[in-house]
Amino acid sequence: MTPRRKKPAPVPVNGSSPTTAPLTDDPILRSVSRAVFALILLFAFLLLWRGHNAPGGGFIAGLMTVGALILHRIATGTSALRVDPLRLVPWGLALAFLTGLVPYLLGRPFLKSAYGYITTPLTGEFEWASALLFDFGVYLVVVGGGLAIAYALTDVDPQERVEGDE
Amino acid sequence: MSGLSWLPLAPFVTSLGFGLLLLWPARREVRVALSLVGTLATLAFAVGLLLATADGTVLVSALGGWRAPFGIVLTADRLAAWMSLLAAVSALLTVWQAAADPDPVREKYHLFALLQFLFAGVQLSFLTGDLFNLFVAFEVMLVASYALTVLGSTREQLREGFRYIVMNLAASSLLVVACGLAYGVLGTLNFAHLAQRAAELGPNATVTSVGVLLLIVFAAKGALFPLGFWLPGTYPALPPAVGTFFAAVLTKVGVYALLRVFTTVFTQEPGVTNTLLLGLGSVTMLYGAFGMASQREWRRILSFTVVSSVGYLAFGLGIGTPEAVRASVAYLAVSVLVTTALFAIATVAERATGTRLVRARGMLEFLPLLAACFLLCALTVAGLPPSGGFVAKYALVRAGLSQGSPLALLAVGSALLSSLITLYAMLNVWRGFFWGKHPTWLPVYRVPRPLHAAAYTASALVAGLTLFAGPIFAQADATAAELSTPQRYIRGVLGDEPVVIPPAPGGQPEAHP
Repeated sequence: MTPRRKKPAPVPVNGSSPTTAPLTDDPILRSVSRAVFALILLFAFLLLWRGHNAPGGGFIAGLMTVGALILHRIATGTSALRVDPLRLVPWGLALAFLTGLVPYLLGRPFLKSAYGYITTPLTGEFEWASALLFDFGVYLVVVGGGLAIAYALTDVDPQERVEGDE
Repeated sequence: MSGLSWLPLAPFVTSLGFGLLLLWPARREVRVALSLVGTLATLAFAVGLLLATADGTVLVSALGGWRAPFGIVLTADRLAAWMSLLAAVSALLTVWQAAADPDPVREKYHLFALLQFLFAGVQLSFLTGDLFNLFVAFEVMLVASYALTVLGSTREQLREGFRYIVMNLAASSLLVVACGLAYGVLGTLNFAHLAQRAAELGPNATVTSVGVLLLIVFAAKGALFPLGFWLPGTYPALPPAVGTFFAAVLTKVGVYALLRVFTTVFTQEPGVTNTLLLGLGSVTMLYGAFGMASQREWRRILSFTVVSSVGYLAFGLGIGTPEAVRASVAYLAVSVLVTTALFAIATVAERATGTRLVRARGMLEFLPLLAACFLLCALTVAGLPPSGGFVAKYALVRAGLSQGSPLALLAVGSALLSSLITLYAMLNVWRGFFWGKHPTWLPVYRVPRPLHAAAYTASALVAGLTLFAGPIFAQADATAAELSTPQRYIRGVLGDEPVVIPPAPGGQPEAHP
């Protein structure tokens, strides 16, 4: 038996619905959050980019991104992500798993990373690794899972009643 | 490294891959087929592992190609392969039951995928060769099991699921702490390397206390007496197919971890941990037996048989002689198969009467074959002669007697007593459910044939325990011999040369006080 619960109100794209107004109407927060949002995202991508060989990685980059997206949600009351975050989780898992599976099926150890060097005039020598794809899978899982949890918590309605509460 | 170094990973990768595949929205038939194919493939790989390790080879598979003490390795020796096979057999019967018993709501929320993830976690815990990776495997298994516990959101499931989650989260945090301490003391987390360094260090109070912490963690996972309070409430709340696998395998993961850690890794001061295990084991079997006698519902009674069987296993580990380890390894097979069979029987019984209560009377008339299966399993659980349970329990008791310490003798007494109470409880079920005259006003429902078939197949496997007691004990013998000489495991994983830790790059010499 699934307890019947009120369907949570969908996240409005334009924020006009009175029930899900921005959590605060602070203009300072709103203007600062725009710049900070971009900065955190940039830093997150940097962490993701260098993660396979230096401090950083998909997990921490994902957490930073979740932080940025939650900030956006708090400041504006709308989600910056247009898809249901939970949908990212299986894709991320599949990407990470397949990155590991390819060398395994080719007779190399599971998760063995291929790597090489490319030199571009802009970035200089850069070491690419297939571990980056794995990291990106992890990133998607963390963003999806973290956001899904955070959004589920922001949607809690303390007045909600479930069958059998009395 | 041999050409088979891919094999220890195969059961885990197969389960995980099929689990991901099952997330794809598809029709029910497709999902069922995929689940069955995935589980069969896992079973085939587990059989392959058993054959490949039969001559005593330790298969090692290095993740990402990083060698043993530095990277994470998956290892398969006889014990790991044995457990992997048992889990795969139970998994197959579980998927069979789930396939035979359509449950649209739970299947919409990925029952089949979660089952595969659960199998992946279980296989990884059996095949990992690294303490921290064991924690990861536990988490994979537990996350899937948390989801399965509350899937469907009945009030009972949520209430019991909460207890289950809190208990397991606490145990997992303790496991991380113990991992940290082990790394702090011994500087490694690889089982073989831990064993080597612990042996170099000799008997050491810190190492022993890390061992005791691990014992507490695994006792909580395996539901040994004071830490197993969540089990008899949680398992009956689960949907039948899921409950079967939980009962048959999840507690055995804790037992396996105990066996692995205290026969291979921390072997320097066996007195402390063995005494603890003996004490906990003898209390647990009695607790399980009394619990069985006190309950009135099918799966509640059976949950207590799980508790009791864990007690027997802890008793076997606590005796600590190779003979006792051999008996425990054989009893593991008995316990996994008989629990699977009993839960499959309970599913059919509950569905046929439409109630969870045992007291239906006279079902012998309607379910004669099921009654025969139940009798066989009941004898196996109680440990009476024509069954495989007798052979294994006899070996356990003999090992206890020949070890001869006062605590072991006490534990033998409690083993015999709890067997007697188990027999009484099982006969109670028999009397309540099968015996007597069926009241005419109570309806008897039709149960889908595949569910019957699952129960019969599982019971046939239990019967097979008796018929193939010889080969099973031969395997158990070889496993015990292997476990009593951990050097072979260590050499198999780390190779013959001593492990050299390379100096830190960049010219900074390693700081040595």
